[in-house]
Amino acid sequence: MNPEKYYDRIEHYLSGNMSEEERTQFDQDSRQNPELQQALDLFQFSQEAIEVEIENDLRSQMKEWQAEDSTSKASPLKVVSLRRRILSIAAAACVLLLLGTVALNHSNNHYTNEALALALYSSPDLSTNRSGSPTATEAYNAAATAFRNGDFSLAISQLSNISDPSNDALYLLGHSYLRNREASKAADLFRQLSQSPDSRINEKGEWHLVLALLELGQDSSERDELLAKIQADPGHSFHAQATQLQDSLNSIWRKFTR
Amino acid sequence: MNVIPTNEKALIKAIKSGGSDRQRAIRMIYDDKELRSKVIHYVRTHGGNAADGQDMYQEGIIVLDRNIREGKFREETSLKGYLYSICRFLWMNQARKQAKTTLTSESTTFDGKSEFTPESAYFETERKKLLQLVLNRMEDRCRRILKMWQLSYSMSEIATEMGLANDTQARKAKYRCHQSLMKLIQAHPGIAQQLENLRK
Repeated sequence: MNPEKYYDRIEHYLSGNMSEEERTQFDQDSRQNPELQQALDLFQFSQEAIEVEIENDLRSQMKEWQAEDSTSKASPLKVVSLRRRILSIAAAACVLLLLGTVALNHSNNHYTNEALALALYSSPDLSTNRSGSPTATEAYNAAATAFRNGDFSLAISQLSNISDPSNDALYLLGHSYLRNREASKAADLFRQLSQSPDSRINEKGEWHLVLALLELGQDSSERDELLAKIQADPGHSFHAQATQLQDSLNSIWRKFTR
Repeated sequence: MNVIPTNEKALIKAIKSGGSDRQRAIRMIYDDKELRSKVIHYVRTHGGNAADGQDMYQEGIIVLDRNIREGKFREETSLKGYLYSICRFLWMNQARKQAKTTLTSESTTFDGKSEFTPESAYFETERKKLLQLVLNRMEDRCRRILKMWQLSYSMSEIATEMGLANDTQARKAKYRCHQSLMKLIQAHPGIAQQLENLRK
């Protein structure tokens, strides 16, 4: 089959620019001519392939926006000023009640462990893969696709089959556990990565260990010490995020969280 | 176009026209905090957490973008309502996949798409894996050209972006890259057949 032979006609057909008459003729021809039908299928497969790439680009773009949002704002606190003249105790009580509700909502929306972990979490860069053997690379790629599709259990299963996982594979496995609500397992992996001699790896391990411990809801000394360590190192890749998290943890709004 | 779209019709038009207009329109939709919170709230009250909700919002935008570009979005409907429906549909399917939620009678069909089954999810994932496998074999430059073409960039825009002399050169490059992609699909052992089978 020679797809070039029908290229222009198929492109015209799929662009939606054919007249009704031309479309009818094309549909009839494709039913009668298997070669044309095959060329049409092939054209459509190729467009689907390009769409996969467009989807991935858009997904990465939105993850970047999400990461930008989380670094540019801790959760801006707007100071609410009360009117000077409060006419009556009843009115004051109403205002206080309203403020209390707003505070409670605000705290629960922005200052719970889960909300803080979400605000500071970014998906891993899935294009980085130094997985080694072809089998391991294949498993990593399958896991990366599953992760992109939100199928974290499948990603875990693919990565767990790698006999000698690279740091990239372990890192993605940690993220998969974290997203699959298995923060304890995620913490174990990030703890392991935080011991790597490679600073690109151990810094990621340290920061995500903090997030996993936060997700676990533990006010642990391990989390606090690690957070303090990252904050004390201005060269750490996650220094800004750590500072932001510490500010949020110290915030008075934390006291309102349920 | 330098004017930032301010209403839904303008957003739809911008997405259809592709290029930087599409990018800006998607960013505006992404930044809609009210709708995003609504989706996150829905997911949180249906067995997920806030991160799941954030993901669903982003996945919903991906579907919205494609449906608008492919003319599947009926312009008389509300863009926000449509996106919210997509997100709910996606989450119900995701929740079934992860068995995080008890099934309710709530409808999980959307735009004529059939209800979720483990098989359909498997086929969808396998198809995407195969297609990605083929794309990975293409040179970056060709991938960029084909993406721009698919996103309705004009040939002169493609020429400018890719440093080509003119529209004719851009058209030739697009043709060459597209032929190369189709040949890769044909040449890959069994891939066309697998795609065909998975399509059924």
